[in-house]
Formats: sequence, structure tokens, C-alpha cells
Amino acid sequence: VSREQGPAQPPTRAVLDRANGTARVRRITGAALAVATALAGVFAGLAASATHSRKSSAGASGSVDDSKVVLPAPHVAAPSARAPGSAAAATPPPLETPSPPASAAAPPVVVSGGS
Amino acid sequence: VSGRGAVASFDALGTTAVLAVAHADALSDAHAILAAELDAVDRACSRFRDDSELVALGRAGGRSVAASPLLCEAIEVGLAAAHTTNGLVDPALGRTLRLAGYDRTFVVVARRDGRVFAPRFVPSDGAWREIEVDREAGRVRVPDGIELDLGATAKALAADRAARRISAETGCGALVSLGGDIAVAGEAPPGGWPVRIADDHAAPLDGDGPVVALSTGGLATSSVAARRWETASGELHHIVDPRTGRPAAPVWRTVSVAACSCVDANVASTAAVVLGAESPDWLERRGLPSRLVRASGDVLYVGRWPEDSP
Repeated sequence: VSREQGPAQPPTRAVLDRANGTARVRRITGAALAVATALAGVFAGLAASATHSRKSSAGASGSVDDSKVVLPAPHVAAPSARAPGSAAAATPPPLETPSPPASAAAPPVVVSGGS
Repeated sequence: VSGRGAVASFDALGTTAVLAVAHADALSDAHAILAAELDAVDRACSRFRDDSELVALGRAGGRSVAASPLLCEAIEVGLAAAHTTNGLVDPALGRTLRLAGYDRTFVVVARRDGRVFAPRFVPSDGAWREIEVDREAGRVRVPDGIELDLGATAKALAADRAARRISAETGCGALVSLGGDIAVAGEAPPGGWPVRIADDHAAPLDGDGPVVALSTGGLATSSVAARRWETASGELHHIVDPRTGRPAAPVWRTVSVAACSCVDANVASTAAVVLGAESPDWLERRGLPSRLVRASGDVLYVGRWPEDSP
């Protein structure tokens, strides 16, 4: 009995779904590994640079990269921590007690006013 | 001045200088000393002279430059004022004032038609903290973009310096007033130096306002009624609130303060105008006798400032 071989049968829907799923899992796994590797590198770099800058700003000379050390802006004096201009902000500095003006009977020699 | 004293006045530093000495024969020497001090301060600190040290410093592009002892002292005084007042009095307001229209000597600003000028209001944001002064090395660094205006404190410093020098070199009691900010040194006349208090230092001696007697230290008056100019945004005055870059709100029209020096008095009176409603407590805590005039004309006294005669 001869059997005539017909054309190949197309894969079933279930086979296609399985193949697609496997490919998707491979892609996600690869991407996750790449991200994890990159993050590990970044964190390692940050930790190393943080330690290095502190040593440099403490005054070590000849450090690897002094140009990247950012020193804080110099302050003339330590200000109050409160908002600038707040009436209660600054602790009154020690002042000599001024002699208050007195009432005067003599004609004035000068005017004190805005200018 | 009663008896043997003498008084002279002349224009200086864009305002009026008044010199009084307790003995008339000291007037000539005292005048020479004051003129020399004013010339030195102008050369060091003027914002409007092309040949001043301050202008040269502004052109340094943020580099550290050599500075005279006087300029170092004047900047240090300005920075101390900012520290003492937590930034209410700010030596780094040059750009703010320039953008508000005060960009020439006040004579020029007052005469031109400012109604076409659109001012900008730029807060200083505490830029004074970045200024560096090394008086021993004679060097100053002002970061690029920061413009100094030492106007008020430099005048007060000049008054203090001149009064002390005059007293020391002539042996005579002296009063020096620059634009109504007053320093006295040496022995005052009996009863003290009589000073009229007014909104404007150019008011006549026989005008309105109480007369008080000053024996030591300094006395300064700040007023929003003086040094005003027109702009497209309305009339402005020169006492700027560094927090907003705008002229201080007119809670107080005029504030007068007595202190141990003209600089201290000037800093306190300026800060009080800027601070507004909180000023009486602020002045009281610092033990500074003061007279504050509200915009309405009502008067408030702080400390042992004598009440106006009826």
C-alpha cells in the first residue's frame, strides 16, 4: 500500500506558545543579569570615591585626583541655623551698653536723619 | 556749639559732612583730618569711581586681589554687620541696587527721568558669606557675580575713624556727621552735643523734630523718606531688604538708634527698618536706645531714649 506523503504539518498553537515563552524568559534573565552587574559596578565606584574625597579634603597631599575635591565655601562666621532675617534668629552679640542720648536744651549743631 | 566750639559743613561721599569741635582753634586741623579720611574712604570704597579699589575688585573676576588695610577693614565691617544682623544689613547688595536703578551717584539717579526704567528686584541670597578677607595678607576675594555696596557702613566707619583721630590728634572733643550718621569722640561740651532728629539729614537745624544730647559713641538715623528715585514700577528707596531685593516695607518711616559707635548705630537703624514690626523687640534685646517713627507719624521709644518734648 503505498502511502503518499503529504506536506509537513504546521506546528500546533501550544508548541508556538511554549517556544515564545521560553524565548521571553531568556531575554528577561539576560537583561536582569546585565542590570545587576552594572549596579554593582556603580555602587562599588561610589563607595570608593566617597572614601577618597574625605581623605583628600582632610588635607592629604598628592592624592590621586585633588581637582575633584570640593571644599565648602568659607564662612566669615557661623550664622544662626534659622531663616535669614528672622527676628529671633541671631543671638544678640555682646554689646557694650551705650550711653543713651539725653534731652537737650541747647540749639542743635547737626541733624540726624535719613540720607 | 556753646562758648568756644565751632562747626563746619561741606559736601562729601555724595552727602553732607558736618564737623563740630569743642574748641574753635582745633577746627582747621580737624577739618584736614576729616578731609583726608573721607578722601581715603572714597578711594577705597566708592562704587561709582572708576579708580576706586572697590571697582577694581569688582573687575577681578572672582580672583583674590591685593587690598589696602582700609578696604579690608571696610569689608570686614560690612561682613560683621551682616553676621550681627543675620543678613539684614548686607554688603553684597551692589547688584541688587544697580538693577533697581541705583547705578550712578545719587545726584545723577535723582535727576534723570526714571519713569522709563524698569527695575528688577534680585535677592542677595546670603552671597556675603562667600566673600573672603585676609587683612594680614592684605587680600580680598569676591566671587564673580557678587557686587559690593559698602555705602552705609563705610560712611559710618569713616565717621568713627575721623572722630577718633581728630580727638586723639587735637586733644579736642569732636563730632563728625556723614549724612546724618554721627560719631563723637573726646570730651563733649557740657550737656553733650545737641542733635536734632528728623526724617532727612538735610532738614534745617531749626526745623521740626526733637533735640537730643549725645555724649559718647554714635547715633544714626535711617529713613525710607530719604534717597528715593522714580522708576517705571513706582518710587523706590535705598533701604533694600536683602531677602526680597525690594525696598523695605514702610512699617517705620524713620528709625534712630544710639550705640557705642556710629557703625553699630548705623547697622542697627538699617536693620530695624528692614525688619519691620519685629524691630522694637530686636532693638530692646540688644540694649539699644532707639526712636522709631511709624509711617503714620506715631513715635515708639525703645530703652532709655528720651521722649519728645510736647
